[in-house]
Amino acid sequence: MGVDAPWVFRRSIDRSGLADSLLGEVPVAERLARLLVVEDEMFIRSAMEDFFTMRKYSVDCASEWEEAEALFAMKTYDIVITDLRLTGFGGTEGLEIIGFVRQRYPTTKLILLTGFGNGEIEAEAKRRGVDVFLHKPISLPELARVADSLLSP
Amino acid sequence: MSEVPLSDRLFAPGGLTPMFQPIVRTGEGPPSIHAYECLSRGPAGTNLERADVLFEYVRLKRIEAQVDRACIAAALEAGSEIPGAPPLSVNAHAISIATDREFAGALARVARSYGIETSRLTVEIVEHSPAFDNRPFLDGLGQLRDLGMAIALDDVGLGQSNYKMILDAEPDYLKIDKYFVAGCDAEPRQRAIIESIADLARRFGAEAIAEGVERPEELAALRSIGIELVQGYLFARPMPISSLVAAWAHARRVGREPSPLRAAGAALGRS
Repeated sequence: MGVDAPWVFRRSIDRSGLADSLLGEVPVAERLARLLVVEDEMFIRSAMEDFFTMRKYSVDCASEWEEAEALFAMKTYDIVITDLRLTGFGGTEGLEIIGFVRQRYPTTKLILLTGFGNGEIEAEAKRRGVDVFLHKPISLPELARVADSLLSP
Repeated sequence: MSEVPLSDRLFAPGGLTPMFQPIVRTGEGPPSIHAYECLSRGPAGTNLERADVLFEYVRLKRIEAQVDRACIAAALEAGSEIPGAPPLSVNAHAISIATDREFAGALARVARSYGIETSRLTVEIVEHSPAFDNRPFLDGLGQLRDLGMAIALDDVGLGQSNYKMILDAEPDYLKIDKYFVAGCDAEPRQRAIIESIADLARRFGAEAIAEGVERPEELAALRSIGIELVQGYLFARPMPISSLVAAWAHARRVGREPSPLRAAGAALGRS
């Protein structure tokens, strides 16, 4: 399903509320950075959640791209770290997330992780607006350094 | 170890939790319960526990029809325990009614299996899909009406819920979203929109219901516009069936009105 499918442009009702809108205006340096981790492997997802929570990030996790996009009905994120494959069957759902977020939330930072990426995928990710394309394996401290640097003013 | 897909967890036993929120009538007489809206929460401990995330996920997955059926079945099972057999309002996506040709019949069968007369039911139509086949949708609405159910339009004025839908669906109720209600006492532009929806409702022989009422001042503003049916935290938060039954039993034991009605009476200065 491409990002140009009509439903992507469907207007969702914004129920995020005033509190979240106001929070969005507070500089990241003055509050916890809001991170969304999108990863289908439960253990990797949990490890990332624990690690980034210890590093003072406010972390939400999703295992599917639909779940990740649905979370944006509730709030916005400063940074999204997504795996490329979310089905285990050779998909490229991470690209859908990159396109979705970049179109609607231009200031959200985007990191795409993949153990299968090639030049073509990387070029497509850049076309869709990814900030950083990283090859796995990557250590969590190294990933955190990239995330921190993207969020630093 | 493989993880159970989130969508499968929705349909597992206990995956969907029904919640109930009263719609209160605040006319000239004492406040009364008009109906209970049946709401749904997804699996506990997941992102889908929140209704807004749950239904955005359902729409992205395009499983509206299956989930609507499952939510309604769970709601009617629990709702059958509410004392006094009050009217119940259940939610359905417009696309579910348009594509699920057996929707009305299935709803009626489920209702009867729990001893609920279909005339007690209102179906609240939620419209999010920009386009679907109108003919089967209207046929589906006709089937619901033939079974004695009322029709409400949810989120009037927001998103895809538009004038065309009011014309086509001939609803019995127009539900005004919290977006317009919150702070309406202090904002004339919001009141102008609410008045316009209430006027539309009157002209179409329907009744407006204001959602998301949280403050007595908002209730007073709505009453001054002529809106009697209200719903929101001012009266009661959505609650699971166990809490609702316990609260009503307690009220009966101590000989008092249930708390939503006491809250309404107090807000109207009638307590």
